[in-house]
Amino acid sequence: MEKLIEYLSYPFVRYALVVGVLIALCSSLLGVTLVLKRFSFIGDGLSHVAFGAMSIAAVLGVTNNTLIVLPVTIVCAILLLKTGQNTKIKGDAAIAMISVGALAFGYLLMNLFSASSNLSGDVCSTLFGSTSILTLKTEDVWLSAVLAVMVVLFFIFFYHKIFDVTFDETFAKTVGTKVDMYNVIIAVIVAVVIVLSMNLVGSLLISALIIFPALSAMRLFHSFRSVTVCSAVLSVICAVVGILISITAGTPVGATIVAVDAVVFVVCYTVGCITGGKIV
Amino acid sequence: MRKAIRFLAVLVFVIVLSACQSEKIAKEDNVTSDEISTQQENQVEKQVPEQSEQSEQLEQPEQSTDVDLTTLSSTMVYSEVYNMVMTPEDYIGKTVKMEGTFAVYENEENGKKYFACLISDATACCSQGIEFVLQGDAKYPEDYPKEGDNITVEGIFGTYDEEGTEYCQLENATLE
Repeated sequence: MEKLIEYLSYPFVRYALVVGVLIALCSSLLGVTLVLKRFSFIGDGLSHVAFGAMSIAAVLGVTNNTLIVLPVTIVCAILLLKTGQNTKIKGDAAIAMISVGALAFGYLLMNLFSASSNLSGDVCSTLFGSTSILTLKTEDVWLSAVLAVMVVLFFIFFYHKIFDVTFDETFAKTVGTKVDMYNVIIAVIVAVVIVLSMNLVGSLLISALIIFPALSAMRLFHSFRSVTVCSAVLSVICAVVGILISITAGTPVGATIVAVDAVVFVVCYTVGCITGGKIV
Repeated sequence: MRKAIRFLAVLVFVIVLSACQSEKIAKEDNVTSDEISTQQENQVEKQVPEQSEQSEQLEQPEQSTDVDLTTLSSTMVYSEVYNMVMTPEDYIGKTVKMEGTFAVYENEENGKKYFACLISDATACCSQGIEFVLQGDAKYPEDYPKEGDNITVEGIFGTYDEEGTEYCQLENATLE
């Protein structure tokens, strides 16, 4: 405990906890919608796109790679979420195609043009998060905080529209909801959350941050609002516990957070089986 | 639901505000220590040999370890070393103690050797190191451990410029 208190005196640990909580909150809010819309794997696909974009930024020598990563990821998110169901290449195939394509091109670019002397380290750090969350600069913290607040505010103000679009797009269109516009906004927010989450758990583990809290909450609750609130609470708790375990035990941050998420899912699944999933 | 949403909104704002506060505190801390060290340097420069009383007042306290990396977990060590390399100005003049793997690098052009203490991150795919210069006239390889050996090194953190690039190193270092 003394060790933990000592670690908390380091500014970068406090930054990590703040950003971790905000990212976990955002990803869990969107996770419920994405899981219900059958887009659980989009986080994985978009994170690979972000990796590809990050490689381009590295090769071009752009200092603030968010300037390239964010727009590219947003465009791909819109393409996947908005047109994925109406094209010849259907949703899951489109995600898989973009995912592996971006990953391959990203690694290829870094291999061919990167000036870094530690290529494998850079790739590993981007894919698995490594200690990225503990090496945030002040401006990264501010950017994460602003984007996270925007995501949460959007979710609060447009909760009912998101609910409509999530469950029945046809009905939502009938009652005058601008479904296409909301799908685009959700796609943009998904992209923002993905780019933010890369700092926390890395490209390969982002899906876990989106899926696990939502699935855990669904084992216990059945209404949309209960699942959303429970998902947010579980996600935040898992992120904090994961970061604290990671810094005290010296384990990789991203993998530890996801492991905690997985354990919580098993617990929720067991509780759900015992109670029949009828807590609320 | 509205209560829950309000609670979430309040939670987010509290977290953001606390983040700002932490940053402010951290910045104030840095500024304060920087100011103190700058004032001390200025005062030392202005010292006159006759003013023995003043010089006694300005004497630095006994050297102790300011940043002891040997007591931290591997994740914390890696993060702290990363910060030391990225923002060296915050650590200049501090006594740093670290444990890691001994490594030797050679400049092929002039044959100059550089000695470093390397540490790996938790995923073991990345490693970072800090160069050190042993105090006295240490000669390689007699006075140094074997490459790859685990070492504990303590020295004063500083930076130097070589061919236009700024490098970090532990000066007056000792090996344990």
